[in-house]
Amino acid sequence: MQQLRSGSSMLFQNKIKYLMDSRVWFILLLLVAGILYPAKGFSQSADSPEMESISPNMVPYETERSIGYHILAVPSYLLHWSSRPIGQAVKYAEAKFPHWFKGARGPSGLFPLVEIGGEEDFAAGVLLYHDHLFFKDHRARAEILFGSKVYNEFDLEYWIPVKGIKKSRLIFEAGYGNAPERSYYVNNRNEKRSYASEFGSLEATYRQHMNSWVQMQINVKYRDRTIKTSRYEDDADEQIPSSLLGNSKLITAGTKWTLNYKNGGRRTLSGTQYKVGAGWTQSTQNPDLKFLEYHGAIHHFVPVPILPETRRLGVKLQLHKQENIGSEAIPFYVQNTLGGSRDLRGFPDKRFRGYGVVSMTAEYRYPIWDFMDAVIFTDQGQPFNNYSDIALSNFHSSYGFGFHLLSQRGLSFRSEFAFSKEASRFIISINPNF
Amino acid sequence: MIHLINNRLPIALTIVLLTAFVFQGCSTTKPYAEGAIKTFDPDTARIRMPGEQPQYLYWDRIDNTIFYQLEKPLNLNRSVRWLGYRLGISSKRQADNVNKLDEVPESSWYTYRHYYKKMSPEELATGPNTAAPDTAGQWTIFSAKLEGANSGFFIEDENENRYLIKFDGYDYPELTTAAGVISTKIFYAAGYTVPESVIVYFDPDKVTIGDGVTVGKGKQKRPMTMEDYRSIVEGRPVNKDGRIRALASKFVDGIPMGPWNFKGTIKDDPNDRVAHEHRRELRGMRVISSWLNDTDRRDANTMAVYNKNGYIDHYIQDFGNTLGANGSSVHLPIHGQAYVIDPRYMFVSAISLGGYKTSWEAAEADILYPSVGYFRADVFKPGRWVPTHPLPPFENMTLRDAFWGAKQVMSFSDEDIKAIVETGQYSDPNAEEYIVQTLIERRDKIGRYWFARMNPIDRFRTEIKDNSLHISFDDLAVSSGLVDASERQYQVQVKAGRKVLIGELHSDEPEFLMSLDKLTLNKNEKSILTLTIHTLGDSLNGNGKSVIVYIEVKDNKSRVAGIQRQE
Repeated sequence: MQQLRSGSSMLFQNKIKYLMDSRVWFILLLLVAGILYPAKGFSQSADSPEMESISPNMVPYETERSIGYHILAVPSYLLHWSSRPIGQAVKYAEAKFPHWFKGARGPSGLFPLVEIGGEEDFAAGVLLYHDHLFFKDHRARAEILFGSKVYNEFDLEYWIPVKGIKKSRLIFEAGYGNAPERSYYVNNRNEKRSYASEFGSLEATYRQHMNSWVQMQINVKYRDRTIKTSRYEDDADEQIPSSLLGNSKLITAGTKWTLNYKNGGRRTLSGTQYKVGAGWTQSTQNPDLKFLEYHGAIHHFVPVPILPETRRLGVKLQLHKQENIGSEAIPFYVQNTLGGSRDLRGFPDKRFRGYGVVSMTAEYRYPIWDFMDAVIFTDQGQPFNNYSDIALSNFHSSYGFGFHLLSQRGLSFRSEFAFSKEASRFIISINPNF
Repeated sequence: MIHLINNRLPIALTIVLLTAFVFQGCSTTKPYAEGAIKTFDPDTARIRMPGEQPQYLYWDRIDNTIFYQLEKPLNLNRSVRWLGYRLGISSKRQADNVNKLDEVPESSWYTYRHYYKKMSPEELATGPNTAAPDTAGQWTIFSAKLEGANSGFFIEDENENRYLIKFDGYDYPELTTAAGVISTKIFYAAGYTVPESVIVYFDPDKVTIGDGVTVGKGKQKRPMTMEDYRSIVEGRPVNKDGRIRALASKFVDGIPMGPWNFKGTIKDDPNDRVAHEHRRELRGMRVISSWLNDTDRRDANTMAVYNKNGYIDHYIQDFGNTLGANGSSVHLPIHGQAYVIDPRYMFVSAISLGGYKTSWEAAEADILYPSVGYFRADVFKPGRWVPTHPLPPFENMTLRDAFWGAKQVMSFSDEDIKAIVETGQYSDPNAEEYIVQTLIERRDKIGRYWFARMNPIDRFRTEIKDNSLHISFDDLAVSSGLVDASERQYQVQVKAGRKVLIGELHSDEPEFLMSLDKLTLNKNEKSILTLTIHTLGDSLNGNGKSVIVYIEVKDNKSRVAGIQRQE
């Protein structure tokens, strides 16, 4: 019996020792102290001073916080003080850029740009704009994106209103980009090869709003692109075939028409938008490299029955097709692609290439707040060279969900989580999907 | 060495914690005052003028909406207390500046007014006002701001009084100015410090621009012209004499030091000892704000003023977002029902896949009268009311704080409300009547809601007469007309220490009479009687909760020494 008692006692002592060693007791003490921590008791002395000769009206109330309180509050203190620099930045912005907080933008300024899941996994930069550069209503915009070592891009735009023609614009654009490492999927299989790319472009566009629902534009574009081997040693065994390397200089002339029958304010609630376009491309170096291309898209929104009209289903159907009219094959880097932040979102960027691509997106959008929509979507799509290649079994699928932040003008940015059988990706983009 | 530290650290921390708790426990825990009741918090000592606090329009809202919400669960004092409260072993953190009668003593923050010393309708209508601008003479603008509909200017009248002149929005004549004046007077009567505000009709031709007045900022800064002045007053509501209607707020006496903020204390002010989020008058203000749909209550709409006596007065100001007004426009249905960014509803909306429809999404913003805007009683939910952004003292409000706020609101009779609303000078009597009725309905909703959760008896009085202890009190649900007195009964148990002197005594009136002989008290010795009072009735009885009243009996006299309200 005695042995049993000593055994129990030792067991108990061991448990205590374990508690002491593991410091579980300390956490327990903190929790108990927190639960039993008196609601007040700090300021009560002001009601009943210890010396009767002192009137309670002479003793002030005070919020006192003990050492115990401060210890228990340390995690919140850490967050508090680490968030203060943000406060300083906001206060500075309030003083210097008050229009940022009023939902309006000034006649000139800059915005930070962050793009996740776009052209590359991550890119950040800045957008500079001026609404009256050199002349009234002459808008200029510069977009600079740095995607670390794999992607850099600079775009410049200058918009000029055409005198005497209402709602018209002449737009001049110039761009430069380099991507030391890009992926090419051989024959659209999951076999990845690498290459480097450097490109520049010049474009002139005339855009005209015919009326409230028809817009047209014609444009001429010059593209100079050089395809090189990837600069990274890791890619030595995964370079694209040397036959795909080289330089091309292409001129494209085209037109696009948009018929917009969409309804709603910053949210499209119902209606349809049609987009069609066609173009002709010719190499300046090789007369045998030339092709026609055309595309069409339908964006349709319909309210979901029973639910309020702000719950709606959006469908996007689109087709892009190139017709080779020369004897030279159309370079892979100007072919139509699928995969990225706007179609087949669960796949890597430019995962599928072909002379043609067909895709369909269905999105259920519903408001979770005045300025925010939740989105559930599925994307389907396939590349093809000839229409006869299109088959239901060849469609690739991705799906996902996300959130759209809306400004007074419409989409401000979207963040989406997309999944496919090959990958999953997180997208942050200022560009709407449709 | 490290091993030594590892072994000793927990011990040292334990000692520190225990010491902290032991010393903390040294303060008195008696629920009644041994001596006089504290009626004044001495925060009016002369101090050196504090530095001016910069005013920010957005940061406090961002901070309170995002970072403060994340900090709360990380503060283990708060989250573990919350857990304890849920488990029924701990209470909510009460305000720091309540006396033994569960009241706020007067201070530089708060003055006993209508609830404590009933004000006449005339006094309520006058409010804080001592002087109105002299509209017969010339006004001189000495400062101005050009911001579209929100433009305004500062003037000095011929009596050398200075005023801020603000206008109604172009589309909603009388809306903002009336709301500003009415709410100013209600807050004043509720005990707060507010600037003088009055509606004026002035002759636009009797205004001149003083020397050196500029408009614009930075490179845009330039001297103000009469054209600027005309752009401000053009299109504003006028009366039949062509005089322009405006709200004139008199400059306060003293030096404005910027906002006092709803969280923490002012560092440079040694008088400021109670964290603002734990002040009863700021926690309870939530109920008053809910009555008026005072949605824009935030740091920027407060003002610390260093007065001539050398201490800080704490003003609340800018009531242009009350009643149906939202600045120069009208309130939206969401205002008062949810924060502008409200993760609670966003989460529910997100997981419901669009099936959940918020009440404000369904509510039509019907504007019956442009001068009234969007102000309704039917959609008002007193327990769920929130301003447009989280405010720490409002979030900290306990039932006791809410009861305190509710009794302030319920102290306004129908006649009181009419007298105050008249000062809004509505040109349409139907609009005025609508405001009066809506305020009455919202007031009654507040009473019904909070009195159903807290025993609504208050204003305890006691005396010894004819060898009997007489205690009487007000049933606020009855006195405010929400419940018929005939439906009420009151029950008391009397104890002295642990000894039960009277097991159960009932009364149909809010009073009890007890023979001192029956209480077996020695009249010459100090005794503390503990009276546990329940209100009996079918409704608004505080859900059966008690109020414990501590009566001190000594030298054939009695006094109320303490009150504890069961939450």
